[in-house]
Amino acid sequence: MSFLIPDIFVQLVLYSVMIFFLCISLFVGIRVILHWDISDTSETQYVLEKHTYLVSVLMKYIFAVNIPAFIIFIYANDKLSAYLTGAMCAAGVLNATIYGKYLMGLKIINLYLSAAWLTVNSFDLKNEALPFTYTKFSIIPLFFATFIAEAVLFVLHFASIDPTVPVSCCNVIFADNTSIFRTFISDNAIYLFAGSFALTVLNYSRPVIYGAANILLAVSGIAVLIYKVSPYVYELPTHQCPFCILQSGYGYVGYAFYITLFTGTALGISAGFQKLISGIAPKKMFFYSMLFNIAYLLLCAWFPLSYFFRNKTWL
Amino acid sequence: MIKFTAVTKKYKDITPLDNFSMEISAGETVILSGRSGSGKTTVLSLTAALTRPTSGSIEVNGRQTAKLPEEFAALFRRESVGMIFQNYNLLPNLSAIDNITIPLLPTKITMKQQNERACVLMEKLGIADKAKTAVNRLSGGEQQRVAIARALINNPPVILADEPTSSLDAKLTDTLLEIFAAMKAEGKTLLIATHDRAVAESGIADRIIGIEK
Amino acid sequence: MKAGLLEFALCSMAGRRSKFIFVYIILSLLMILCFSVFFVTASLRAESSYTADALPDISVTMNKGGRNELISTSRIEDIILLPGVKYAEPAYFGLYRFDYLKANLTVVGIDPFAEQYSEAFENAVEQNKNILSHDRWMITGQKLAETIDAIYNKKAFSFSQPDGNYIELPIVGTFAPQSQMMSASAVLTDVQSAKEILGIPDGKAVQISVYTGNPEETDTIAQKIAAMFPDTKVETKEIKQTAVSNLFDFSSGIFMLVFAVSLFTFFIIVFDRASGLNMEERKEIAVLKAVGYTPSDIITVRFYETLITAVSAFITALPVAMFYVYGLQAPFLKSIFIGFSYIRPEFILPFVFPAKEIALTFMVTVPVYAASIIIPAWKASITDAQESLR
Repeated sequence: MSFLIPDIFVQLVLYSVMIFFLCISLFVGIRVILHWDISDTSETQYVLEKHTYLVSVLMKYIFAVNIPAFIIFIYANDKLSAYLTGAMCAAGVLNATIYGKYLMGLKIINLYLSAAWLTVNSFDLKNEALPFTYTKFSIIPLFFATFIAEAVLFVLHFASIDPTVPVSCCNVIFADNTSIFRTFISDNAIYLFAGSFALTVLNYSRPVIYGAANILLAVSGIAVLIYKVSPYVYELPTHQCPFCILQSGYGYVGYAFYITLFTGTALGISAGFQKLISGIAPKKMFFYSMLFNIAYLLLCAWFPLSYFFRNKTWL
Repeated sequence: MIKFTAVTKKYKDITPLDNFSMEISAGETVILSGRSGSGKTTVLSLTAALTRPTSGSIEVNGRQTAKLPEEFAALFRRESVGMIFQNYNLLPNLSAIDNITIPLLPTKITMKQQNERACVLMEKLGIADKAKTAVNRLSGGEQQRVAIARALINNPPVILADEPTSSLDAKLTDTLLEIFAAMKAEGKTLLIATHDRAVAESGIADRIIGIEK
Repeated sequence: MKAGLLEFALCSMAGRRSKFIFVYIILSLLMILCFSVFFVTASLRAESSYTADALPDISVTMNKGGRNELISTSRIEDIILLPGVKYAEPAYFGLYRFDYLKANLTVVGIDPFAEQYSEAFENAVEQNKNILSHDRWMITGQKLAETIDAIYNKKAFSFSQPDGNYIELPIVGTFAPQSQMMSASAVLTDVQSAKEILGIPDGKAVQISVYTGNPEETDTIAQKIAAMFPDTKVETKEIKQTAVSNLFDFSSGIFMLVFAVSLFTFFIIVFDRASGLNMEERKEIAVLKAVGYTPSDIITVRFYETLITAVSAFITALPVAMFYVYGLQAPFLKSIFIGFSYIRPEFILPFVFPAKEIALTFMVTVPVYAASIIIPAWKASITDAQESLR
């Protein structure tokens, strides 16, 4: 019945529209992969060019809708936590089914993928010869597959939430020390984050490496937020959670964290990606990427530092 | 300025233009003549990059336009070509000045500058007092001049006119020819498709290119 | 934003007014439907959270063969010995049919000397110290007190007991609970009067209310009580609240189904209407292309048209829905959510500013509308201009 809860229902509607558009894109994508030939003057090629233009509009729509859809997704999981015994925020709900964490991961990957696609697209459309049309359309089937997988996981996740089964709350999930990998990450989150940040700064003028370093930065940025920064936001050493900071009790400060991190790294990754396939580095994107990354760093530093100055001690 | 090399345009069942070549240099005024259906309009559309040739190459204002993607073709048109049509093709629910500034709306030019430019042109063409009038309340001659102002507002080097005199009487035709002469004096390249003898005989044209099939 | 194109979109819409007015009306109606359902749900949910204030942490009722029966108060002694239980007391409440209003009054017996676990009752006792000097008394919400005064012209009310005798209670004061439902129907009275009105014999109670010190212990304690007394139904506050909340979501879910169908129909209609270009539209697009509009410029114009229509529909629908729900008290819709029964007090939907509901309505209508015009707009932007220019 959870599909009829308004917050989830809205997402289903948006998914159906996006999948409809992606089917069209896939259809055009396959034709481009098979028939694209920019030197051809035939009517078929002309029509195909017009269709590629449609796909770029559709992809812009998908990206524009995906961002608010993502926020609604977090919000819906947060709201469902009220119905599940034990869950205090979205973390508990996402962990309530086996699909939750993969769904979350895929959603993030798809956001980054579509951002990268749009960067290449805008670059492609600036050149009369449309040099990257073939490249960008070879990515479409991959994007289609990951997006459909996301939609399927979405349905499975919300269909298999069982309100009668107690789940873990975020304290338990993120304090879980049974995995060596996770323990390693949580112990070294600061070093990992500082390392990848240094890597981005040092490679500012090497676009491809900079883009790759931004992937590391995105991952370590979230790790440092969960394990080192969020306890200072909650002012509670045992409370490590990336979702509770999105709640009103903490002034929705989580959105500031995620928006800066996502904007900075998505710009960085997209710019690196663009350099990789086109050989030309979009200067402005690197600049803004760096700007947002620095903003994220400052935001992360702010909470522990202000806590330290107020209480003269670390958590 | 305009160069067609072995241009062929085919639709499914008709071929309005077959292996057509011509060359027009900058500042020339050329009349395209031929029976209706002979492909005059096709030549104009191809020059404006509104449609693509099936084969052959076209160079206008230093650009190869035959294979331009739609976005670039439109930008090229905005910069290089002004078009004047037989039935004026004005948008009926807009005023004269709004019709004239249409080509400038997507550009970065401010609204104020847009209106200034339009006023200068209307002054030149003698329709300054009609600026705020809805175009469907203007006379045929006035509408024609609004259409000309619209074609000129981007200051394009190439002006294309498709049967510009066919709905005008003799007196208005003379006025139009004067306007064309003024454009010519400004150094614009004019390509006029017409089968009106009055235009051909007026001596405005440097050359007449006949299209036969 | 290109101001020029926005202005052009406005002028161009003025020329094709009927087409947009049609979409505008349908979109407004869809939004009003969506807003109203969401607002009523939000309001009822707020109301139920106010009512939940009166719920104990754990309620223990007697349940035999699916029948609710009175529970014997002697069980309190066993419950209070459980570790973690802070306090347990018998609760006396029930419905009293008030024929004149065709409504049920909720009669609650409270002990003014004991600690009140509900904020509303606590305030009621605080504000009406004079009850301590009365043997028998009653406190009602302001609205009910006025109604009784208007009917009987006195500050007292006669209850008929199950055995046919009458018992008259003086209204010694009023209280103002947050819950509108409570304000319109609650009667607080002393325990003895409550028992007489509701016909509860000595040694019995409607339920045993259990309060725990630590909320995290509540579930465990509830399980222990259930194990101790197999003939009882033990419910925690959380479960009761969730049940109510789920009920509202379920009702709104049925609307969601209706809404989904309407939304799909809307998509098809707009798609269809936007796809079919008449001569004039064809000409307009051809002219734009001839003067150097790129396909993205043309799509931008269409996008602005959509935006203008959607925003106008939005600013029409929002106040209309607000007025319907909070001004008119959502006639018809309210009944669907709370049932058609006449045996219930009239209450006012409490106003909550529905920011989230507004955002959700926006997110479900506007992207669908935008999606329905994308393909037609693209089609228009690539049509062959040559034909229409002749």
